[in-house]
Amino acid sequence: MKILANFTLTKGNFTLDIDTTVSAGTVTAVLGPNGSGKSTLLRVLAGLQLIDSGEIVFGDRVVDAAPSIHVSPQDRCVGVVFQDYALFPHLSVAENIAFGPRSLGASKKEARNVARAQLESLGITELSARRPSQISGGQGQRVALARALATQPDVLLLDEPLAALDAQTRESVRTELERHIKAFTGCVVFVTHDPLDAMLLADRVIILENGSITQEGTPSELAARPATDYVATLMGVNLIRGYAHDGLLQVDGGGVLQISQRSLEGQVLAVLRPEAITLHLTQPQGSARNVWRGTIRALTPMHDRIRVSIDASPPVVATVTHASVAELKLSVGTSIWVSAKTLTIEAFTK
Amino acid sequence: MRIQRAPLFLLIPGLVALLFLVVPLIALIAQTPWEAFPKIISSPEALEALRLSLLTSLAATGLAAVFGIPMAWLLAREVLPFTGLLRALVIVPLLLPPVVSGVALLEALGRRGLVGGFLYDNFDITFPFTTIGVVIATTFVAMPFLIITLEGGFRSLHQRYEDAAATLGANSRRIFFRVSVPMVAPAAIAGLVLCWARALGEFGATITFAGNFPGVTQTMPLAVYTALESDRSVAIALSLVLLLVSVGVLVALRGKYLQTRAS
Repeated sequence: MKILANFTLTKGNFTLDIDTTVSAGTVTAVLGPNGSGKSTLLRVLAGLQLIDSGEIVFGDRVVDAAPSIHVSPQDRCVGVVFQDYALFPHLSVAENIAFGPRSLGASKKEARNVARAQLESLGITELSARRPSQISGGQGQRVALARALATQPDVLLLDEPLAALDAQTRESVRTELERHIKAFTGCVVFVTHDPLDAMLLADRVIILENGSITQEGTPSELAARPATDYVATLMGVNLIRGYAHDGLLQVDGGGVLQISQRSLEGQVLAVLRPEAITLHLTQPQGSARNVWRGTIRALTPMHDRIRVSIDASPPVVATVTHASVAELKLSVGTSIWVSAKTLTIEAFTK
Repeated sequence: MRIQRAPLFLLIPGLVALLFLVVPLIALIAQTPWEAFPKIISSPEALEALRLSLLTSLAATGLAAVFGIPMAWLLAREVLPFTGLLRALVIVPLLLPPVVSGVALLEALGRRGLVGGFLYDNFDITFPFTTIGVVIATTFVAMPFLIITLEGGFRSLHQRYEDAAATLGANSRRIFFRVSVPMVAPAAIAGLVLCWARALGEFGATITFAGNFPGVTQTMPLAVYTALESDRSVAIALSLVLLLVSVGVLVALRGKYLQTRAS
């Protein structure tokens, strides 16, 4: 089964405009900044939000075709893991999981058996009688997943599944979650604002910015060829826009760089990885190098390196070791030479 | 607990307020004819009034639950047009002098009333001066308490629980009864108790719309009022019973209204 989504939806002065396909057996991440419409997209797929135009098809079943067809959430065969899980606080863990099967007409006993099986497969049988208020965040996430899977949905939708967790539990829950969603045979779509979750869990990533899809691809495609500044920032690379001609890149906003692809012509994007940049106090010599001058705007410590933001033409971010910062006596305002080997600049047409 | 010296300009008026509220209750208890109390309370008139009070107040609370709980949900979810106006209309009986409510009910449901006239002419149904009339009057006055309390409960219930239930395949009836109502249970209980307490104490609308007939429409508050003109000690004894009920309500609601701030 696959999902075809081609629709628009307007709320106030925000418009969500989607055109994409999600294949069965794949995990798709919807990645975007806050307010980009990620959660709204998920609500639309779940049937909790009406679209204004277009259609949504699950397999060979049209679930939305504005304005005439709208299959209610009850009849969509979707499982949803809500942000903060939305477990029913007045029901035990087992009753939460049995709620779906009971709603779909299973007897009490059948529903209880489904709940028990789900609890077993997620390894949380001991939580069965507890209330949602008596379990941890990581356990809550598993219960929410078990509840969503208990109705045997065709589509599994997860809204920020790891956002409510602290950094430590996040790692283990992510591994756990990965195992379960990779085993799921239907379509999995999850929404996140964390690029790490998207990179680690998803086969395919949809980038949503301000209501529109700006890029789709595998995580490695996005890292190699980010189409927007947002994606480049997420991937931690420098994105340079310019006009290529005869092995030279005339950068928009000033500056010229040599690139290795002499055949590229016209408007292009170029990726320059921060670790491929070297900084010097005096003008470096050598061939096949781009060298330009700049001023340090900011120094941001990361876990084992320091990010150096440099005002230059083009402006770039470099990552250097703590030792280099000490050796070169780098500080904000320091005038610096930036160099990057021609081969490290990967230019491509959009 | 932090010990703080209260400034006199707050302490004195505050204590006056306290005395003003408490002294009448102490006087009532002090004046209670304790030897005669069991006899008065077990007299047929008193028992009849008590029975009628319990019957009508519970019936009114039941009606308020059946119709008021759905109305509270409709207001909270703003599914009807002009929700603000509707909410104001629901609150009006709360602020209206009860006697005015009684007159309004007579004009609506009396034998020559807007709706009551039709019912009397066609089906020979009359409400005023009947026990059902008492139930109608008390429901009219007490239901807003339930609606307003519960609307707050439904409003603070996040939509995502109902959404989650919908994606799990629950129809709207199941969502309402298995998710929404249980989740607002504290507000629902508080609303029902407040509603019942108001119904039990109802006087003005009842005497106006249903009159004061022993055994038919004479509830406890009406019996107190009547006894005051004949036998003061009976009035005091019956009042004490109502006071005990009020204290009972307070104890039942202590979780919600008597909690002081933590630490």
